[in-house]
Amino acid sequence: MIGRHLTEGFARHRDRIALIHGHDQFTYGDIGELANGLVDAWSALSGQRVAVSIAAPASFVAAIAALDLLRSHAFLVGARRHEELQNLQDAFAWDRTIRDQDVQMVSPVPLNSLNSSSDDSGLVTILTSGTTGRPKAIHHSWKRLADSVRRDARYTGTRWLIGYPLTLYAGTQVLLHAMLNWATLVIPVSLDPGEVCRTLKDKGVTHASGTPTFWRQLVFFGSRDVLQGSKLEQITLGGEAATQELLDQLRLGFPQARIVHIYASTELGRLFSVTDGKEGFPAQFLKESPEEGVDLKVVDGELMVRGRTQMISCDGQRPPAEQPSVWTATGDLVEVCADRVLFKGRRNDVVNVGGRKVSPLKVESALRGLPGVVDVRVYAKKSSVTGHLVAADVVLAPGFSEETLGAELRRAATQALESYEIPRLVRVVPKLEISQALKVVRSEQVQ
Amino acid sequence: MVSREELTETILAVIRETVALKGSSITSLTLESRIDESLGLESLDWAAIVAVLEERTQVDPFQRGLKQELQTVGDLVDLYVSEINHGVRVGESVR
Repeated sequence: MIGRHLTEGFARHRDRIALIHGHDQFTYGDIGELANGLVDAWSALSGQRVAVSIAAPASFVAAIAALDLLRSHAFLVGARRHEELQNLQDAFAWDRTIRDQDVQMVSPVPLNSLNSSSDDSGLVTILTSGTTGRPKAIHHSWKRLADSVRRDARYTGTRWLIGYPLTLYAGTQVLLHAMLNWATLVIPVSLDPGEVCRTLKDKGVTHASGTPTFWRQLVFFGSRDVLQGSKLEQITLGGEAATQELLDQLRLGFPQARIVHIYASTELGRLFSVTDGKEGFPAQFLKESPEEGVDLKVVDGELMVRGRTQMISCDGQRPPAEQPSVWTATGDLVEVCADRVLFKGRRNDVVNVGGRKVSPLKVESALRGLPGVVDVRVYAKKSSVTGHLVAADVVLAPGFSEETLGAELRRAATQALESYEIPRLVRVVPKLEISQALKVVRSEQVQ
Repeated sequence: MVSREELTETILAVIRETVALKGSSITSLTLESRIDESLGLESLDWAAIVAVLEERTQVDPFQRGLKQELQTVGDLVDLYVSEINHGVRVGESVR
């Protein structure tokens, strides 16, 4: 799918910039011809299970396009340490691993010699971003992933900054959005807010996607002048719940931009999006499908979904959602408040304090408005006395001290929270523990 | 080996920090101070003190369940001294 798309549109779009990474930029011609060279060089990989462990973005895109054309099954494992790759290979039994050097030694081949007549699509496996234990392998086809991408001529020539690793589900979605619309994918050399700011300005980015954690860091630590002078037309958030305070800050900082919050997961694919600038989603979505083929309901405070899925299988198991009548639990706890459904956090993140359940999102929301608090992570800390305690890591803005935090925090928390919800253990940290997918880690007992 | 004096100092410091986190302060904190609400600390605060002490001393006597009644800060110090003298560290099995 991705391979065929790039090769078929080659003649019309070869001079268009496909990808910018730091100071490097590559046209669709550069990537198409490299993919074509890889198809020639890797003919033995046709139909094989191939792990893609490539760091350089242009090499990565050319490699997945080539593997798609070869009808290979690509495992997007990303650049990892040898031992880690070995463990994953033991678990998922792929035939071959390709690395950056395997692409670097291949020469591009002019594209007029390419055979791309088949309609088949190669398979692709995305690993979940699980922060503990072995990740789950979710199998998709490039065609199904591409089906959920909106194609529109107005996107041609736009510039999409990606705040996710390319190998994760959200990353592949942004990649496909850019490539299928002949837009330019802009990949910052790091996700440090200063670097992202420079990239937004210097590369004329028009669309940008990232987790709420990514955007929160950018709003607090990025240069205000640069952000306000940016050409952003669209801001997309996904992967975590977007809080009202963040949505308001984005609206203030980027008054001209459309703000889209996408609800999706590696397993279930993209389900719906919200664009009204309010946290949560309209309760109307529980009565009427938010998008064709997607139904939502709330059972015991948990959001359930039913409908189409892009996943073909998960660790060899057929997905339950493949049958349209089956409801799948999302793990997201929600509360219906009048005409809105609000996210209360992940079921696994709930802190149990002596039998009383505490939502980390609620506590974080209460603390974020405090003067000097840039960001906060609330999690469970095991306690021999009460089972668990509510703990918080707090990032302070420059000029604010730990000494003043305690009393301020306590005062604000007392107003907004029940006694058992107030964090009893508070640490000031330079930055929050964030997963590879740029989501806040709330695993228990993080030291 | 941590001395009784060092341990006492650590425990008193953690109690003071916990009180400060609540936005108040203690005029007098001694080994005779009572472990009840007179210090302005609730049971969840004491649970937090135990968790912080676990990080700083590597022991948690409450993991084995409480066999004696704790009334004063001095009782708490005795409990930790006794635990450390047993040589039991967090995560080790206790027979």
